[in-house]
Amino acid sequence: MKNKTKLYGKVLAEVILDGKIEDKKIVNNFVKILIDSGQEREAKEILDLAEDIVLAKQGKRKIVFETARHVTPNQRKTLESFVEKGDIVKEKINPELIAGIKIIIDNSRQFDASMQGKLQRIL
Amino acid sequence: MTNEFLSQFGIDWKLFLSQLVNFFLILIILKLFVYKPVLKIIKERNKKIKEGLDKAEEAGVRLKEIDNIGKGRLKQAELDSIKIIKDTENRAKTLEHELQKKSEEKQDLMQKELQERYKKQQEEMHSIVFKNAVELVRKTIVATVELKPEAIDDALIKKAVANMKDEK
Repeated sequence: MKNKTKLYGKVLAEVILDGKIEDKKIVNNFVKILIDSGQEREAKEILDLAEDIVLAKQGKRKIVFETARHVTPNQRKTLESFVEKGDIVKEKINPELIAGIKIIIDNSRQFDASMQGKLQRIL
Repeated sequence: MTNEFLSQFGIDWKLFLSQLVNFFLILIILKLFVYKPVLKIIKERNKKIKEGLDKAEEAGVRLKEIDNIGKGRLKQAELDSIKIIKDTENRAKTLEHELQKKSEEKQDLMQKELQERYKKQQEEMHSIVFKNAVELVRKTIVATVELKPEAIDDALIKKAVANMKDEK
């Protein structure tokens, strides 16, 4: 099942990068294939994978800012100084972090500057 | 002459003769009807007495033999009982030794179990104390953060961004 998910993600990314087919048609076909193969539940995973592949091919980064609460305008400004043009930025609220931030780049690199992380490292 | 001589002594030879005949007659009768049966009875009695004496002697011999056998058996029984007592003592000693060994082993086992249980309890206690301590620290940090959450977030975000930029 995992291999099938990876394969679907790869194929979807290739179709998107190819650009020969309309976006709407790609989405329709993708949904149809998922329903036919009974993989609706893996849709998010496949899309994330395809997104990672597409961004990597385009030389762009996917950055997730995970914070304990909504960021203030000042904090956003600080974060934007790190973001480059073309980067896909996502924000996630996780109160478990207590304070601080966790920055995840391309689902592969992670910098944990949260209070939860510090606490875990101490204990 | 003879008659005269006998007459001088007052003996009537006719009377004497008849008395002599009477005497022999009585002697014969006594011999036939008294002496012989009495003799027979005496002989039989003697025989019985002899048999009785023989039997008594035989009984004495046998009694002696039995006494000897009894003594022998008594001695053997004594030896056997001494042997049994010694064997019993040895077995008792062996049993005592085994029981002592088992008791010691059981004691060791119990001691080990107790030690393990004590160690486990200590570990559990340690774990509980540690969890409580962690929770306490966490609550303290949360309470501290809640005093100035933005300032702390600011500091941590600035540090994170600076580090990420350095890494680039």
